[in-house]
Amino acid sequence: MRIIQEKPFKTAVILILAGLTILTSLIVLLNVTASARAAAAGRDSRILAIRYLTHLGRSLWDAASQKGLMVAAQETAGLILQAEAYEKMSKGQEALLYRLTRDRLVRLKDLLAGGGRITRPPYYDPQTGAFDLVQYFLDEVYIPAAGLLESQDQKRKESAFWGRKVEAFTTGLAVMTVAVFLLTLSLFLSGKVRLAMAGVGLALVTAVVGTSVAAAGRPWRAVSSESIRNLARASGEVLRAKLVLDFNGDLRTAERFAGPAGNTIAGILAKDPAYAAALDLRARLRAAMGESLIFAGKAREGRAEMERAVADLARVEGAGRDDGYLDWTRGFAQLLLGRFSQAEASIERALARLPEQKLALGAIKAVIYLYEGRRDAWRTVLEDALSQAVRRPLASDPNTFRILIRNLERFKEIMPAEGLQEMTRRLKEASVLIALGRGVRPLAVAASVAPPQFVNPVYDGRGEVVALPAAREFPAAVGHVYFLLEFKGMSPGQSIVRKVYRQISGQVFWVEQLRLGRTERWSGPAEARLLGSVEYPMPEAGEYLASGLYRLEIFIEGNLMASGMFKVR
Amino acid sequence: MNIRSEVKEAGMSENEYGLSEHRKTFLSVLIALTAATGALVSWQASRAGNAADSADGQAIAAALNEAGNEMSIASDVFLSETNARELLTHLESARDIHREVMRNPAVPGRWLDDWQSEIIRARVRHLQLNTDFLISKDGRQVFDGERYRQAVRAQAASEKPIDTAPFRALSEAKRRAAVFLISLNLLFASALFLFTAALRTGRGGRPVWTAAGLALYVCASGLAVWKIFF
Repeated sequence: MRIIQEKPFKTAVILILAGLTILTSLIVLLNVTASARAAAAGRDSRILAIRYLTHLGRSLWDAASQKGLMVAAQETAGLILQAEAYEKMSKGQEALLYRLTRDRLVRLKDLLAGGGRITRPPYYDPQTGAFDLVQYFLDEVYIPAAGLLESQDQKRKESAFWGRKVEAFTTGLAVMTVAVFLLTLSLFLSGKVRLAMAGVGLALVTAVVGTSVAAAGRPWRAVSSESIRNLARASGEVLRAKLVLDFNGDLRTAERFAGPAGNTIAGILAKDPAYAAALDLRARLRAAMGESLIFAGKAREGRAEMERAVADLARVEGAGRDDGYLDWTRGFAQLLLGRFSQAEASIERALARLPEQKLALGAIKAVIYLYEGRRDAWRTVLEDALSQAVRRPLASDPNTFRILIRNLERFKEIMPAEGLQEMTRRLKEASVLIALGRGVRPLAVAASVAPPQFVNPVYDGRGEVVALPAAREFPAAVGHVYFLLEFKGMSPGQSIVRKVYRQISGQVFWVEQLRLGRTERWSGPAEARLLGSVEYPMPEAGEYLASGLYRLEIFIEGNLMASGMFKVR
Repeated sequence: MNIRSEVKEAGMSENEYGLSEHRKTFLSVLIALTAATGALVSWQASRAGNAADSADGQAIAAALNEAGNEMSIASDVFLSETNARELLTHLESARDIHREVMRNPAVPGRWLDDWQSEIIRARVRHLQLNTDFLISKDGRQVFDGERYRQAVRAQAASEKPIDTAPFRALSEAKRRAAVFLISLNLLFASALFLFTAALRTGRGGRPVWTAAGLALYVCASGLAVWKIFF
């Protein structure tokens, strides 16, 4: 009786064991396939990383070459103007020399124009003589780099995806050996133990089959190369829009770049709805545009755009992307939406993940505290953030300060609160002191300076100034705006920094004009009256002050001592 | 019941299938041969996988070669184009002055000094240029950056690999071979299963299982030989 029972049992176990060789071979095949795809994707990811660095090196040299060409063309244009002017002022052989020089420079300019990309449309506008170096940089350096980096990231993710499958199959094979051992053991045992061994062995086999089928059935959803290309292009457009918003504040110009970017991203998401990088980019674009709309006084549209940005950020997190920068964007959006406690929580999370960004995040936290009415706490938080600016120079570049100051000046317009003026002044002074390498605390000075008095000099026939009548308004396309400064109690070597802000007509915000700022060291007597001028580095080459309201600020040893305004029609 | 008596019982049950010692030996040899062939094919698959990894490494090395080469070319082109631009500026200036001096000998003397200075400056720039790549464009000399890039790339490629494509293609081919060889194990395992079934079933099915197993074995072995050697 026992023999009759054992024969079918053993036959069944032996056939199961033989069948397991087929199953094991199948899992090995799946494992090898997954491993091959992981290795190939890993290799491509490494090659793309090298290509990204190669592209950066090569394109930056090319950009430097094109920039050199642009500078040469600009200088030549300036020299042509100069030669024309001198030709009119001189006679005979001298005039001939200047005419020859001008003709030669014109030919040279034409030749330079034919020799580069930056000197031709769309990067050069022959009507205005303006170069678009930013767009050249985006097209030739940034967008291809973004495409390579995104392709590299996709390959890295693909490699990790197949790697996880390899882990599942390898674990399955290891468990399978245990199952084979238990089933083999059941051939040599009897009674309940034998059944238990066979039962556990079969259970393990079932588990391995289940996990292997689940792992094998999970497909890799590759993002198409077209979507990656479009994403890179859209990221270039988003960056351009953000640059316009950061440095110019012109919403209409920003929308010219943001519009196509939004359409491109919508096209990508229609094709790949779960593409986290595209969702992330859309969230950042919406946050930037929402911010600008709110600052432009379009609160309803701005808030709606911000809400969409926050929803997008949640989707990005849902898609598995999670980093401090998402918290940062969300925290700033919540601040603008007036949800201070949520904003604080988001910024705290960002601070925990991005400790090196303590200056920017700490300043935002200080603003949140200020709006929450925590009067003393915001000062402590801001000072703590500023102390970080000295310790971590990479996260406290002038641009970070500029954006923080710009935002505070905008908050003063749309969300006025007591303390914003003080905070703005503190950041401005800290920014100047860091640039001078003097820490963040303003230095004690006995000097004083009266507010700048803008003047319109009157010259005699020899070019000497004979009168300095006061003026507040200057004609359009003026190259220099002069001002008088009266200093008292100055010491040699003291730093004098002047910053110029411009308010574009029709806008309420001030934008710092980087190329109009100057830093000097005092070398005169203790008391002096000086004539200075606001001008671009090359007024001779036709650079002029665009129309708008200008504000001049004078810092002595990091202390904001005086300011004044003038208008260019 | 102990293990020894179990083995004995198993031997008795085999006899009940009417399997002669001769046939039992034959099937056992087939099972052993199939397992050994499967192991051999797996070894070849592993070798193909290693060759694919090696090709991956060569592809990465080629990408690095390409990176170094491209950076070097880009900086060279930058410097050469800058030199060529300066050369052109000074030459143009010198030629204009010279032309005017020849046409009008009454020009002031300092014109000649200017002409000489411009010629010297142009000569200095000329010395710093790789003149092989100077071309005449609209009657003036300019540096042909694109031809320079192509020439240096070709020169670099004659000394070391700078293209990843052939290595990536080799790697893909070796990986496909490895996957193909490993997939043959499915056939070997199936043959093993059939031979085992032949050992444990009655007379009726045995020739069918054995023949089917042999067919699978021959098919898998043939495919393996073809993939490994051809």
